[in-house]
Amino acid sequence: MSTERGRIRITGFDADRVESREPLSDWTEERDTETESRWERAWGEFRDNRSAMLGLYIVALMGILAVFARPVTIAGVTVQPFSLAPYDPSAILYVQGLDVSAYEAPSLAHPFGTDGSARDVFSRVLYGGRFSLSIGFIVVSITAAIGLVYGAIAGYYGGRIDEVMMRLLDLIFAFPGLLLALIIVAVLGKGYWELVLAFTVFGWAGYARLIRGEILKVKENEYVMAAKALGARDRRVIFRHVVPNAIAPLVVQASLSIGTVVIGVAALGFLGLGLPPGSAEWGTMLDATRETIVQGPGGTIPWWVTVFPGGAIFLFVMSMNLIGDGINDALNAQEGTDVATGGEV
Amino acid sequence: MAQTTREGNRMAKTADSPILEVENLTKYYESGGTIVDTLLGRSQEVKALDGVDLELYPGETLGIVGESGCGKTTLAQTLLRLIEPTAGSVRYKGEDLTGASDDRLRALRKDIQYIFQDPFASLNPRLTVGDIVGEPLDIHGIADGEERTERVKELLETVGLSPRHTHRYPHEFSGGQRQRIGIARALAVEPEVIVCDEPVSALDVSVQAQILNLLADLQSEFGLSYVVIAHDLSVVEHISDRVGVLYLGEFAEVGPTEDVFQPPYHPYAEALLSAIPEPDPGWEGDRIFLSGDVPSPLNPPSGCRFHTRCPKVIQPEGTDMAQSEWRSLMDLKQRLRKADSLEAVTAVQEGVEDEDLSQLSRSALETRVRAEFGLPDTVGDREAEDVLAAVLDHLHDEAFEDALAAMNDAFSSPCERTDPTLFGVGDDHRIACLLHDDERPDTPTRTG
Repeated sequence: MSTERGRIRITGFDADRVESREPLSDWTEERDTETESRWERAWGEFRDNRSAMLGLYIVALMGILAVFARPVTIAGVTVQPFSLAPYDPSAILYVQGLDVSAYEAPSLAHPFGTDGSARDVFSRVLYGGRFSLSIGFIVVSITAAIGLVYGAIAGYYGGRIDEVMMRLLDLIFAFPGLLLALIIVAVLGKGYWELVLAFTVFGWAGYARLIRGEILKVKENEYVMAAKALGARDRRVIFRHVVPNAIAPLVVQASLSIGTVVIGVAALGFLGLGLPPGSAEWGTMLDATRETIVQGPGGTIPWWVTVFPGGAIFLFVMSMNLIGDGINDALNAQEGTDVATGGEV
Repeated sequence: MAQTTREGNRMAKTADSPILEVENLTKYYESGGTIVDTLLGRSQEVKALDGVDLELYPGETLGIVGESGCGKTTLAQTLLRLIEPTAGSVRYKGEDLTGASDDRLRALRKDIQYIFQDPFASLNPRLTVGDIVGEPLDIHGIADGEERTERVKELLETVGLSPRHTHRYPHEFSGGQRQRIGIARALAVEPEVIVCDEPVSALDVSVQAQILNLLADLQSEFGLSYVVIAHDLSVVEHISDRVGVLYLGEFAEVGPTEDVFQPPYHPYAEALLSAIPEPDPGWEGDRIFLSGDVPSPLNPPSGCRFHTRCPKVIQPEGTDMAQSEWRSLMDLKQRLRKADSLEAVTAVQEGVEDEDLSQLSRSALETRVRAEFGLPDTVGDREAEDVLAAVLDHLHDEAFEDALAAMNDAFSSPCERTDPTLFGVGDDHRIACLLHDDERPDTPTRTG
């Protein structure tokens, strides 16, 4: 064996011959296509999922209807002039001189009928989407963000910090969530931002626990140590190397929770603790017509005042769950056509 | 040409001061006990690294070899303080790394870089190659915008990758290509020292040569100094100016490559070297087989850490028997320390199960014990034979503690009592073995 230090020389291999021979295939470097990123691939998977796409269409439609239901005015300037809802959702129609009475059955003029105060239910259901949808998305984005940061810090630093932060979390988990939201609304009073606060204050705990577990797993990877060896600060290591590799379950969880929050808001509304009475929020609408479920005026049951707001809640929550499942499948690396599964590699 | 570089490095070494100086570097891990264990003071320490000294001179390659679990990776990572050392110091150009503040340490990362063993785990799968290689540029504010893009492309070309690969993800590359990405990332900060932790052990043999050549080319181009950790002796022999042989967290032998690969040897290094296969069909290979397993670093052996497996373990004064017999007696003694049944010290009979060994006759037991340890019918030394007979009597009575006591009284090697320091055996060549201690009165033959 040679004890000479330096380059390893390979004999019996003629590099020129390989370079000048006939090409083995018609592959050239220029023919290479660009790689698609993980999110591009996930979007491709998602698009192929019919039920998830159905959910997406429904939610998009409901969102558009809610936005264009009535004109939007910000600081005196009308930014959205369209008005798909035929009537003002809070207008009592006979007061405006129209020939409409309370609990009028669905007709061409009022497709969803009118409620106990002679308001147009169709307009109210369209407009009500603004409350339910926006609270759902706002609450979930705030709670997911808080949970992400909290769980990332606890999981990444570990040790005593983790211990203290997780015990605090246990404390939060010991309270029943909806009851706590109920108490907060009861204390702070009714209103849109009070509702958001009630669902945010403790709603992030689940995300924090989820992301912490993922981060405990991801931070053991060698590329995390590689980033440290390059001199990266903790913040950079966490948010550039650890979190992007741990975030997929959080995205799935968040998309599934939007439905849960909307149900929660509706439940509080039904208990009379959501938005002020008379608001066009779906749960509050159900509450206002609660007594008609058993026995309506004049012995008949005006089914339209409960079925349409309730149906809206059902449709939205179901669509969000379909989307959540679709995201779950799309982000799962083992799914898909061009990805080898565990046993094949 | 290779020879001249080596001479050049020799010259440089005497003239320059070391670029990296490590003194008494120690890392103990707390062995995973429960809180109750800690409260009761029962927690144990794994002595992964126990007082390692080394120097790295500018432009040289220091190879570090050793078998699995001997502390190679711990050494590499404590050098950069990726793991906090328990004790000791690492000085880079005279500046103490172990005492440096976090900010200073981050700045020093520009000078000392690290190449990881596993190219499949050390690249973030969510970043493109351009972002991976460009990250050190961002962190240290070396370049941004157009300049950064240019620099990334230049780095990729330096390590033999196409600049067109900037927007690709790590999973699209082969192992060798990934290791090149890792090297480009380390080079981005223009370091002086690169610590390579088994840079080629995860790669195919054909690719290993490419990566080692790349490392050699980069060294001559940028004047880098390397610490290369490896378990493959032929790799180390090829790329190193100097070699350190690590055993259970301590250096067994340190010296220039050709000196380490020639006698005089440390017995451990000799055993390792005997295992290198020669590409020769007629190679008989007089391999030295080490007895026993690697001892646990939880409770490393007393004295010389290698004495439990050393084929050349020293006989006490006045004892004179064949070295193999002495080794067998030492093995028997070590086995008795943990033995609580006769199964532990007797040879297994083929095809016999659930045998009641306590029913064996004294002579049958003796045959089985001698077979297990390869002892002849009579040991070469008369006194030793008498002791062995007494020990076998104790074993027949299943009195293991008495047997051990008898062994301890009679057979005790200086290797068990004295922890050898690194004794100089030549120009810059040091061996931690009592055989090479000139102070010892009964130093046997030096070359063995």
